Order: sequence, then structure tokens, then C-alpha cells
Amino acid sequence: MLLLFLLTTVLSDIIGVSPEDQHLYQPEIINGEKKWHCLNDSSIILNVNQINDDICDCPDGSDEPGTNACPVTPFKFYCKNEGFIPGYIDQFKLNDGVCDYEICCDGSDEYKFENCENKCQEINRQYQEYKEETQKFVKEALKKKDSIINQAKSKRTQLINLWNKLEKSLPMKKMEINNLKLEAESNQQHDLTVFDLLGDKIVNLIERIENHKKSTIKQQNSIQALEKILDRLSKEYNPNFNDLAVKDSIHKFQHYVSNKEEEVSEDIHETNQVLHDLVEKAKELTHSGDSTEPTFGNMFHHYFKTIIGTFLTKPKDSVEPKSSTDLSPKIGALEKELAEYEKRIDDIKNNLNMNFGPDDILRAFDSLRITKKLGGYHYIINILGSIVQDDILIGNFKEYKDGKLYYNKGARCWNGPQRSAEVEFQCGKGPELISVSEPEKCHYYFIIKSEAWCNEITDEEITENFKINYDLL
Amino acid sequence: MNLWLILSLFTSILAVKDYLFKPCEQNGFCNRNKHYSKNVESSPYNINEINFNSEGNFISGIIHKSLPSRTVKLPFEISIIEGNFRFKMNENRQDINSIVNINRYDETPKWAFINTTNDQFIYKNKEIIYRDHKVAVQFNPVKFTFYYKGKPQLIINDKHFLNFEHQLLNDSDLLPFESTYNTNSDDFPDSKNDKLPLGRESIGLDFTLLEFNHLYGIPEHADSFSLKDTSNSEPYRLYNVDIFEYETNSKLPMYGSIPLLVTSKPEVSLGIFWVNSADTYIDINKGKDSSLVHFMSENGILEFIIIIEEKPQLVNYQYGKITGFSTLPNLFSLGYHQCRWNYNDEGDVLDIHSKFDQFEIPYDAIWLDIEYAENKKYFTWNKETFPNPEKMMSVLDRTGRNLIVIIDPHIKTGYQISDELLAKEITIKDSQNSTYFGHCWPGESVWIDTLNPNSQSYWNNNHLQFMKNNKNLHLWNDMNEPSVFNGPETSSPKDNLHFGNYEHRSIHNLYGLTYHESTYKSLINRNSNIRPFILTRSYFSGSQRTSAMWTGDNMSKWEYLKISIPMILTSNIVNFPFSGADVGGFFGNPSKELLTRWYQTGIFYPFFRAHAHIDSRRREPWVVGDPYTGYIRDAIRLRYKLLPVFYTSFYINSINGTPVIKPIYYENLDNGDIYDIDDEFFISDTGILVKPITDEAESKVNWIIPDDSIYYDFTNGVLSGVYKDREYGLGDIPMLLKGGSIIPMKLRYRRSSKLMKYDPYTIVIALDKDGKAYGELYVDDGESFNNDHAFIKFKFENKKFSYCIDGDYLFKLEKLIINGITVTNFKNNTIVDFDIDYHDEL
Repeated sequence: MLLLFLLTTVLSDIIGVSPEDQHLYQPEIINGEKKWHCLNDSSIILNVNQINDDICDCPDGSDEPGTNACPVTPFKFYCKNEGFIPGYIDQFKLNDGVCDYEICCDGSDEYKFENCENKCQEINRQYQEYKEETQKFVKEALKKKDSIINQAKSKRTQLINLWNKLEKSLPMKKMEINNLKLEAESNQQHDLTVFDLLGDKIVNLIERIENHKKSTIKQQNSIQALEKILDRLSKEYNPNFNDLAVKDSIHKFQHYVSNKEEEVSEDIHETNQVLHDLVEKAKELTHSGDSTEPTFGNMFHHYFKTIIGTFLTKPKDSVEPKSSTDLSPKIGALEKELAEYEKRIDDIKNNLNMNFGPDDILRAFDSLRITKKLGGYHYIINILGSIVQDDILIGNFKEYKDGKLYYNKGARCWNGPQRSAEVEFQCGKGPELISVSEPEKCHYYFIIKSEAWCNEITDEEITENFKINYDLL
Repeated sequence: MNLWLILSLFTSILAVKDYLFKPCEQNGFCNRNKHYSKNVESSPYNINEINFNSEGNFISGIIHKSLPSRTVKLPFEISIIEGNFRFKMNENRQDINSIVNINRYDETPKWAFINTTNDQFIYKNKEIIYRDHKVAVQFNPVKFTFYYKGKPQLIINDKHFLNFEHQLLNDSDLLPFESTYNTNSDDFPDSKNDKLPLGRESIGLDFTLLEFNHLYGIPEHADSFSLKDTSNSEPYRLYNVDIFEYETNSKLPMYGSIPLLVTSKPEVSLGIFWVNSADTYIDINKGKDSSLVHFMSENGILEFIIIIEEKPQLVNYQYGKITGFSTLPNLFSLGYHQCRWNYNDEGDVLDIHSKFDQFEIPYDAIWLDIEYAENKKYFTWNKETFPNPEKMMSVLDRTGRNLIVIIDPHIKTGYQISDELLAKEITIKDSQNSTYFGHCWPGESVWIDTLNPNSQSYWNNNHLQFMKNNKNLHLWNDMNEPSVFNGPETSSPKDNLHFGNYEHRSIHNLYGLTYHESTYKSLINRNSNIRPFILTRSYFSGSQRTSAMWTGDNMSKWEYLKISIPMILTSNIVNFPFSGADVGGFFGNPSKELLTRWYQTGIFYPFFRAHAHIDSRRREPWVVGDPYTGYIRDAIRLRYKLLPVFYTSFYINSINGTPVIKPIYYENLDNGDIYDIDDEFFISDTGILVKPITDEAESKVNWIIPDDSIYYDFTNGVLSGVYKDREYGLGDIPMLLKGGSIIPMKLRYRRSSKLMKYDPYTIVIALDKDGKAYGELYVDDGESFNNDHAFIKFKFENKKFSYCIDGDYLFKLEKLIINGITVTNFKNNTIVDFDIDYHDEL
């Protein structure tokens, strides 16, 4: 039945509505008058001249596709942009005096004032130029990306090769150590005089430790006195005088306080323990027979006496250095080497398991260092290492996650957390640091451009990224 | 224990260093005036000679100050200026062979006043009669009693505090109750170098206000709106200083000063305008039946103006006729300002700029603090960070946005701009009359002496060369107290010299005014048809003519949000409405809730700007995230919807001084309970009543309804039924609309105020008990000095909406919202009958 009321003649186009949607604005004849109802509410019937009359009548804003009268609208204003790509612009940009050429190169967004010349031809020229450049750039960038990926691959291969090499050398090393150990054991009984050489050195050592301690305490006292002075300065200085030297010094002092290591209150225990171990070992090796157990109080005196008594009384010429005494450092060195190899193998395994982004691409950057002066600071970014701002550590690389690199455990901020950072890569000519911001206190956000993050680009993306050069309009 | 330690550490770091500022006791002239007021037995000042001129508009005479050894002759003058009583008292000094100008400074009006005329009056039988006022003059001792409405309202020198420290000729030249504390030297630690070449020269006077108990004005202080009794505390001090991390509820001086004290009671409002630009203290003693005000200044002539009117708004009018009204601001400057110390470079500026559009938040101006200039050398750009500022400005201009950059009065030594300043000898001089060198942001600097008329052409040229013809470039004048980092009380030494060899001591409080006025003239010189926008930190009486002010370096704490309202109300009632506080707080990082509430309050600051310290986190509206970003967007958009209201209010202020935000007692003098309310206010005479939420986790508002009108719920600018108690969520801005009001709004979102130009107005009508309502709208192009305008008066009576227009500037109406009901079917400029039974709404 409704069909009966449908109008068959097509009116002129409704401004702001695309050709595909024009049919939604076909009027009906009700009681001989041309009527139209809101798109989402057929109970609201309007005269056709209420469409685009700059008064909002429909709750969905469908009666005002060509004005800014409604706070919401079902679709944006359609710009024909002949000779270019059609655009859809927010109604709040209509007839506000601004030629929004990014979207409406034909200036039709300002249809009421007709203050915007049609610039589609020039904009299309710029667009084509940009498109060509972009496609060319992406093509080049993808080549570079491929080579970066290859670098990453070869670095991975290198690592695997190294791992294999290390792995292969392990049995040999182990065997060598065992042989040396066996040899050393057979020479054991001749080791009694090893400490004859060391006696006076130990005395000397103890004296040096004592002296060192005294001077340390002295130094600590003067540091404390200086800290007290600086602390007072930082609390009571006159900030209004804004003396840059004072402010800078105070800032650095606060940084120093925040990053100060916890003081080790008393290291006498550790020192004594070392001496104790030393003498125990000596006892084992000398069979001196003196089994008086040292107490904590007499420890120093005890060992001192023991060491002096046991070794210094023996005539020096009875010492006969044997070849076997040379073996233990050699064994030690080999054992250390072995441990290092094992650790390196572990590191390599961990490294190979880490997420270095798509195609393992960050691996290519493992020795890349980017430096730049930005906003008055000098930044050094070692992509898979540390980030430094002037002389302050911002963070060490922790992980790659969800497209970003995370750095943590930087220097502590005064009254704040440890510094940390995020790095975002964007497709572009690089690698180059392009911006730094501090969205949260002591948390930094870096943007780096690199071809490594480029991908094939669609025409839609090109259109979206295209920026008009207004100087040429 | 640990927590306590941390807290105490924080307070010691964040508190103002009050030992840097002189308390009254350690400030020679204040100490001596207080001593005098406590010890004076009988006033030694008598009128000896009085002459009324033949034109009938001027009295001159001699007041004798009787010393044990001689009599000091002090000339005085009385006139009626623009209908108000003016008194001046001076001294003829003997030359002392010094560089310093020997005369007491009498040019404060030259800077503070506009062109004024003197009225005729009658003088007979020791009575001065003008308009409907009478002043009884007592000769011995001198005393003035002001009569209005048949009753005495004010007595001057009733308490014998009149003190005029005459030039000493020998050591015994003193009265027994005159003190000699710090007359020739200053023992305040930072002021020890003050040579005080003219010795003691202070003035003091008492004003007894009869049956007045509520006193206001004399900004700038971070204190309650209603002035407090200072019997047991420091007096209020007026001395323009760069006060670092100021405290709330304090009588310490701040960046600006306006020596106008106002007071009201039913039927009578009164203003005391103490015309003096030197260091000043004001003691207030509130008695049972009267209030005693004691003004004390370090030097200068003794000059004051008494304004007595029926209503406080008329005091604003009279004061405006003397010192000038605000110039109608450039419309953009009433929009939202986005500032930060600092936006680092062009990319940063344009990124912030585009984010506003991305998040669909309107804004009108983005600001650059001191880092934009190369090494803080004003009139230069840092080429590394701002290689192409013109292009940046043209991008901003495309959507009607403006750039505001800072230019301070300290000029770094060692570049062309300061070289020229030195060559032209237009710097502030030291006590030996050589250029004064001090420290400020750029390091060693010299200061332009804008009291020197020769400085204007220099200033003009530099502005022309730097700003060129960029029409969307405006200025920020900061640090013009002047702030001198290594000076006493962070300012210029008082014995420095200005043009005319006057000591800085004499002109200190008006230096900031001379500076921003000089900038204003330079901008007019650059383009005489664009209304300049200048933000100043330091100000004096008269600053309202050419600038906006803000309340300086506040903190991101609730107490600073709260105190911003009384501070801005005070500025409004002493004719300086274009005022605001840094939204979000300058120092520190506001919580999400505090930031939201601050925006919701800030949209009612006549000057609406967010600003943040360089060490604070980024906090542009989108940083905080939803739902907060949404609430902030709604708040800023509401400001833009209300721009016609603010613009019209500023227009009315520019012709009669009506405050843009107005205390609720203003129109309700018979309601004795509301005189001290300073957390609730009206917008001008529009009937919009606002009470911002300034407490954490608060959802209730304790409305004080000032009169017996109907008040409608107008939360978030949406008119609904009659106001009832309700909950206010974090997205709600508590507003009411008084029955009988008609307000014009522009409801459509645009990117900036300029782009709203062609949008039609929505007229919101709230009917009173008789079904009537009235309102006004002022329209012009918003930026030029052309006189094309329209002033529209709206009326709703007898169910009919009508309006009349004065002027022919085009404006368009869209719809009416009457008691919440929308009506669109009416035509411009015709009387339309609305079939609305408004009584159902009540």
C-alpha cells in the first residue's frame, strides 16, 4: 500500500548525500504534499523543504546531511571532488570559513559562502606525485628491509654456529681439566711449603687492610659532612634566585641521593671470614697440628700468630717450588673458561628464544647505535642494549612485546620511580630517532623511523597519509 | 614515623620561603606607622588655610604639622573627579644634592587613570557638597566625615593615624610618638644594600567605615573573598612580587596590586581608592558597628578617592570612569587556551594542535613559554626547534587558531636587542644612575624602563620586526613585577632609578602596568585594527584596560582549585574581570578527578587557560583518557556554547564595569547571610548561577539561593525543571538558571570560536513567577575595532517572545528553549505566540 504514495519523479540532488544514498531522500506524496520521514523514525514526517533547512528535526540527524544543525548524523557530508577521490567530511566542518581541502578538494564543504576555489586539479597532481614517491620509497624500503632480514638471519646463523662450536669444544676442555687434576693429585704430598712464600705478604695485607679501613672511615666521615651541607642547601636554598649553577647542583645531588647504594654497615665479618678461609686452607695444606679453634674475638690475633708462628720460623731456603704448584692456577683458569663457555651457550640459547619481532628483524640491530640531540638532551640508543639521556641511564632493553621495545631499570628519579622507556618503530627513512616524549614521569617514549618496519602499502593507506602542500595551492 | 618524615619533607620543599618577604615588623615604614598608630595622643595635623577657586571645582590649602620645634607646611588639594571625592597632600622638600628626584612621586594617576574631568561642587560652612553627597571638614585636627543618604558613612582620620613623615632637618625634628626604625638603612637581610637616600617618607591614614562589616578588594592575595580582620595577624600587603610556590589563606603580597577597597551594606556601597604605587600595607580592624581600615605606604604623595554609591555595581562604574573600563577582548581570547612550559618545537605544537581536532575538543590558542627563544633572548626564535614559525602560524590560522608567545621585560645582555637598549639609555638604572644588571631566566639581564617615553619606539620596532604581520600572533608578558632573581624580595632594589630619576620605591607597583601597556601600544602600532591580546602577571589599577591577568604559579592541589574562585571574584569586583587561574595547577601532577573538576571550574574563569610546569607530566585533555577526557571535552564545549554569554558580559563590563563573574551579594544587599559567600557566583547579570565542585569525591552541592526567585536546574548548561537537591556525578557541572532570564547560546561544535561566527543562536528562556524573562546579546566581528555591531534585547512577556536590535550587525536565531521545551517554528524579528503553559513546568 505504501508504494502508492511513492513519488516517481526524482528531485534535484540533496546536498551532502552521495549518489548511492540519494534514493533515501525520495519524497512521498501525502495528501498531495511532498513529504519525507526521518530515516530511523518513520513517525516523524517532514516537509521536503525541512531537509537541509539548518534546523535539526530528526533525532538521528538524517534531515540535515548538508548542514551542521544536528549534533549527530547518519553519514558524513559527501564531496564530489571531480577529478579526484570523493570525500566524506564531518558536518561540523561545513560552512565554517575553512577550506578543508584534505577532504573536499572541490571546496564544496563551504558551499554557502563559496569562498573555497576548486583545487582538485592541483591536489590530484600533488597526490599522484606523493603516491608515486611513496610507492617508490616503499619499494626501495622493502628491498632494504629484505637485506635487514637477511642480516638478521645471518646473525642468527652465526650464533647457531658459535653455539655448535662452543658445544663441540666442551668435552676437550673437560678432559684437559681432568688430566691436570689427576696430575695435581699425584703431586699433593709435596705441597707443605706453599705458604712460606706468602707469610710476609699476608702480614703486609693485614696491615694494608687496617690502614685502608682507617682511611675509608675518614673518607666516609667527610662524605657525610659534605652530604649534610648539600642536604641543607637543597632544602633551604632560595629557588627564586634561580641561580642555574645552584639549581643544577641541587638537581644532581638529589639524583645522587636517589641512586645511592645501600651502605654496607660492617664488612669486618666478611674480611675476617676471608682470612679465616685462607688460614683454614693453609692449615689443610701445612698439617701444622695447631688445632686451637679461633674465637671471633681473638680471630685476628690467633691467625696472625698462627701464620707468623707456623711459616715465618721456617727457613726460607727449605722451600722448593714444585712444578705441581703451577697446576692449580692452570686448572682454575680452565675451569673458569669452561664455565664461561657454558654461560655463553646458555646466553645464546636464551637469545635465540627471544622475540625479536616479525622475521626476527631486531636481531639485525643488535649493534645499532642511534644518537640524536632532541629538546636540549643528547640521546644514545643502543637498540638491544641501553638508552642514555646525556649521562643518565634511561633503561636497559628488556623485551619486545606487542610491536614495541621495552627498557627498564634506568637511574632512579628523585622522589620517583626508576626510569624506563618504550620504543616504537615506524616505517620511514632511517634508522632515525624522530621524537621523544615523557608521557609519565620518568617513563620515556621514543619513535624511531626505519625501513625495517615498512610493509606493502595500499592505495587507501596512501590516501589516508597524503598531506596537502598548502603553499602550492 | 617514616610516613611522617616524608610528609614533613614535602611540606618543607613545597612551602613558600616566607623569610624572603618582609613582614610589617621588619619593613621600616610599616613598623613606624604601626608604632605611630599605637602611640599617637592627638593628631598634630591642622588645616591652616583653605581656598575655594572661582570656577568652583577646586580647593587648595595648607595643612600644618606641629612639631615641638617648628611647623611643617603641607599643601593639600580637594576636587571632585568624575563625581567622586579626591584628596591630595604633598610636601615641599629642600634639595639635598642627590641624583634622586627630591619630589614625592605624584604621577601614579598618569598611569592608573584615563582622561578625567573635575566637577563643580559647593563649599560653604566647612562642608563640601557634590551630587547627593556631603563631606564635613574638621580643621583641628583635620578630619573628614562623609554623609550619604542623610547618615555619616565614613570618617577619615577619626583615629588620628594620619602620618606624613616630613623631611627631617635635624635629629630633634620629630614628634615623641614618631619612631626612627630603619629610617636611613634597612636591616632586612636581602635589603641591606638599600641606601634610602631620602630617609623616611612614609604616609598612613585611617578610614572608619560606619556600619560596614564586609570588606573586599585590594588584590592580589591568595585569601578569602571577604577580607579578614588583621588585628592579630600580618596586615594585607600590596607589593608586586614573584612569589614562588605561594600558600593559600595568606596575606603575603603577590604578583599584582589594585589598591581599591570596597565595602557594602544595604543601601550603601563604598570604595576607597588609595592612589599610591609604593609598597603598601592595609590593616583591618572589624568592630561591632564599624570597620577600621589603616592604609600605610612607603612613600609618594598622600592621595585617595572616595566613591560612595547606592550599589556595588555603581562603585564599579565610578571607578571605571576614573581608571578606564576593560577593552572588549578579542573573541578568541575568551575561548580555551592550551599552554605548557614548554611545547618543545614546531612538530610538538602542530601535534597538539591536530590532536584537539582528532578528539573534537575546541580550542583557540596554543602558547609558547620561554624555551621558544634562542637562549631566552626575546625577539628571537630557537632556530633548531622553530625553524619556520611563520609556516606553523599559518597552519594554526587555517582553523582560526592563535599563537601566544612570551616576552618578558628582562633582556639578556650580549645581543643586539639589549645592546640597543643600553645604547638608547632606556634601562632601569641602579642607585648611581648606571644601568642596573641583574639575573633572570636568561642569566645576566637588563630591564627596559617602560616609564621612559623614549622606550616606546624601541619597543615598537622590535615587535614589528619579530611579529611581522602574523595576525594570529599575540603576547604574554610575564615576570613584570619585575622579577629579579638576585634582587631583594626577588624584585628590583628599591633604590634603583627610573625615568625622571624617581626611585623604584615610588613606582614599584605600577611598573608591570607600564610594561604591558607599552606592549599594547606596540601591538596597536603594528596593526591598529586587531584587538591585541596580552596576558600579564603583574598589574595595577588601570591594567584592566589593555590586558588579562592570571593568578600565577599555583599548585595541582584541591586547595588551590578552591582558592582560585575568591581570587578571581576579587579581581572582578575591582574592575579587572579578565582573570583566571592555571587549570590543572602549575606545579605538580593533578589526579584525574582533580583535573576534571578543575576544567569544570575553569570554564567559568573569564580567562580560561590550562598551564603546567616543565617538570610535570603531559596533561592535555586526551592524556587522562576516558571517561575523564569525555568529561573535559564536555566542559570545554560548554564554555564554547556559553561564549555569547561571556562575550556579552565582557561587552557590558566594557561600558559600565559590571563584573563578569559576580558575587551573589551584589544584587541582594538585604540578605545579610550571603555577603561572605565565595564558592558560588553569577555570570554577570545573566542569571546563570554556578557552584563548582572543589572537593575530592564530592557529589553534593550546598546551594545558597540568594533571593526568592525560581531557580531552574541548569546542570551542564541544559535547562530542565525547577532546581531540587540532586547528586552531581563526575561529569556534572552544577549550574542553576534564575527564573526571568534569557540567555543566548551557540550549541553547535566547531573547532574554534572564529569558526562559530556564522552559526545561529539558541535562546534559552527561564520564566519567572509571572511568566516573564529578559536577556541581552552583543554581537560584532569579534576581532576588529570597527563599530559594526548589534545589541539585542530579548523579552518574553504574555507568552510572547520578542526582541529589539540596536545596530545592524547580522545575527541569526535558530531555536528557543523555553523552560526546557524547544521551539523552532518562529521567524526573526517578529512577535511569536508560544502556547506553553509554563506553570505546569514549575
